Amino acid sequence: MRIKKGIFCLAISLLFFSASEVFAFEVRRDYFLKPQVGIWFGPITPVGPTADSLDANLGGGLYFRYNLPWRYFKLGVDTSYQFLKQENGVNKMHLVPVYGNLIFTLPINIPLKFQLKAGAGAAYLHIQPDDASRWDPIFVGGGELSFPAGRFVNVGLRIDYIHLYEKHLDGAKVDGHIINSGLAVYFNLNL
Amino acid sequence: MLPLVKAVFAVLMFSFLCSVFACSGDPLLTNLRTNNLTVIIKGTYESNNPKDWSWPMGADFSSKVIDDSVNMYPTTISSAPSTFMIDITGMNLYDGSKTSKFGHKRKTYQCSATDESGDFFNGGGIKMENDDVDSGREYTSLRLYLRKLLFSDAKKYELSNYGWEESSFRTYFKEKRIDAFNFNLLLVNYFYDTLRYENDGEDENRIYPLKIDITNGLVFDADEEMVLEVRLVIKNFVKLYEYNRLDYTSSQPYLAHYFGVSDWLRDVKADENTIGGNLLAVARTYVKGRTGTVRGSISGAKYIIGIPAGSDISDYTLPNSALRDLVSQATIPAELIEGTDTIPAILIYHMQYEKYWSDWKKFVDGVQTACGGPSATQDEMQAYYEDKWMQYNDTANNFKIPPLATYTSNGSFEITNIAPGTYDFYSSSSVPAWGTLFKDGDFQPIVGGMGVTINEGDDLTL
Repeated sequence: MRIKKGIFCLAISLLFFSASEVFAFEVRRDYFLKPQVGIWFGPITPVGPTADSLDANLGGGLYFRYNLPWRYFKLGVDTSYQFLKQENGVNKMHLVPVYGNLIFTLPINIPLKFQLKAGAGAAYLHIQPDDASRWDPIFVGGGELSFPAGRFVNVGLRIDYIHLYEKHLDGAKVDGHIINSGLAVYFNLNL
Repeated sequence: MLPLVKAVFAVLMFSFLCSVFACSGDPLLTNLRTNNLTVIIKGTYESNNPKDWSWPMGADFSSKVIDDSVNMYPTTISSAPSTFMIDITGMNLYDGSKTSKFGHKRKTYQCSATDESGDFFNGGGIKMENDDVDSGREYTSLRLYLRKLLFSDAKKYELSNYGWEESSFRTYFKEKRIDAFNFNLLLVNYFYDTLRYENDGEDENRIYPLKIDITNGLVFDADEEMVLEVRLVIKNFVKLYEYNRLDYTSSQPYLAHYFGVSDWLRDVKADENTIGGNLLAVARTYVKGRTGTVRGSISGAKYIIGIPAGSDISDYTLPNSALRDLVSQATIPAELIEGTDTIPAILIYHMQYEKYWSDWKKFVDGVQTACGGPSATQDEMQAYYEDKWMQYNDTANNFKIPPLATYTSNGSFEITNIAPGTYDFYSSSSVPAWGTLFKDGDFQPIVGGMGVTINEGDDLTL
């Protein structure tokens, strides 16, 4: 029994160490694992209590991603400009979120890449008709589906949920909830 | 690559620090949902302490509530309606060049039309749902989009093969079928409008929206809680009218008897179906906690009003004769609706047409006499006719409801929530008859009540 366990542990160790060697080889060959910069464009939709005050609109942004030493993990930073207003009302909001996120690419060996994201950062808000602005902490989660269109270009669909946190403020009754979705085009920086 | 990574982390750290240092301040997302501008709508002439409902009863109901335009069928209604209902689509504020869509939420409300249980008629007012508007901009008028105004207990009299059949008039309110009549539909096209060339004989929309001037305008400050008080004169200002659909253009001809706002300002004549121009309204603003109060005791006084200092009191009263007498000789016969589908429709139309020609001749003769006889020219007669109607319309348009008003049964009064400013206060010892307001001479200046300056927190005694 002990020998069997020992052989099993040895096999796992060999697999682990050989995987890092394989990963290094893969980085040199897999263009998707290069640093990436991209843009996205699509509908931005307030949900929950935020939908009572604002209506959906179109927005866009750009992002940068860098691979971490652990395979399938990337670190990204995103920013965008989002303008939401009420169609039959006076409320308006300019929103500029800036956040970092950890991205995990699902280890499925097919041309399509499924990525899950989670992150945090801050967002600048400016609202009308109150004509007031502030920075709010935000928490972000989302996913992305993309495929390579050559060595340099990837095209994908993405969806992110942004939670604007304000309940720590005196008098706050609600947080903000916005869903960003749309098309993404990003480029592998083969540096 | 390393400098790029450093730049990325610098950006992330900056945004993180911004959010950390923003641990205080206003919660903007909550502010988007809440507002400091409150709109209250009341159905009373008085801004506070309105007179109780005082429906005439018995024989007085016939003489005071039933309008003199009811002529086709003796009404079977002999008492007040039980319920009043209102359906408001929304409201905008207008600053002279563009509107602010600050109140786009629908509001429906119903209450008793005979007692003081409803806030709409007891002085409390009903609160609308709205957003704030831009600070610092001056808004001069409110545009109120009234979808429906209804009183219950209307009657329908249908002419069938078996004679007159009476039933309750039914319509829709809050998407349910109820016994009521929506008189809002008839608050258009009062007689003057069809005569204007620019209207081309079409109805003029005077109710959607109802344009209400705001006394002294509205300049909103987001840091203050402001109230916009809107008053529609409905309480104790109701008449019973006749809606004539015996023209055979509906599937079954009928008459309806319904309750609507009084035609004290623009008299409704017999055979006129529309009662437009009679929904009187006023709007004023004040900031919560930054108002004054005026009180006093005047022997015999029943109504006290406050108007902006220097205003002409005659703007708030009418001449002692009926306003429409200005055009008594310049009223053309009512337009006919041609009946074509059935033999009765055709017969009735042609008989009405003969009377129509006879009435036209009488009208032309009357105007010719007023212009000096047979030698009067067409231009002179046209000018006489047009001048009369312009004079009537301008006088009616210039009539205003005072921004401050209260009722007292014993001479002791109190007017509350007065915005800082200078006012002239008047009193009246007369209580207007049912369905009427004040005529020239009804108000007298209160001694010591002219040019009174009210400051924030004042509690003055006149």
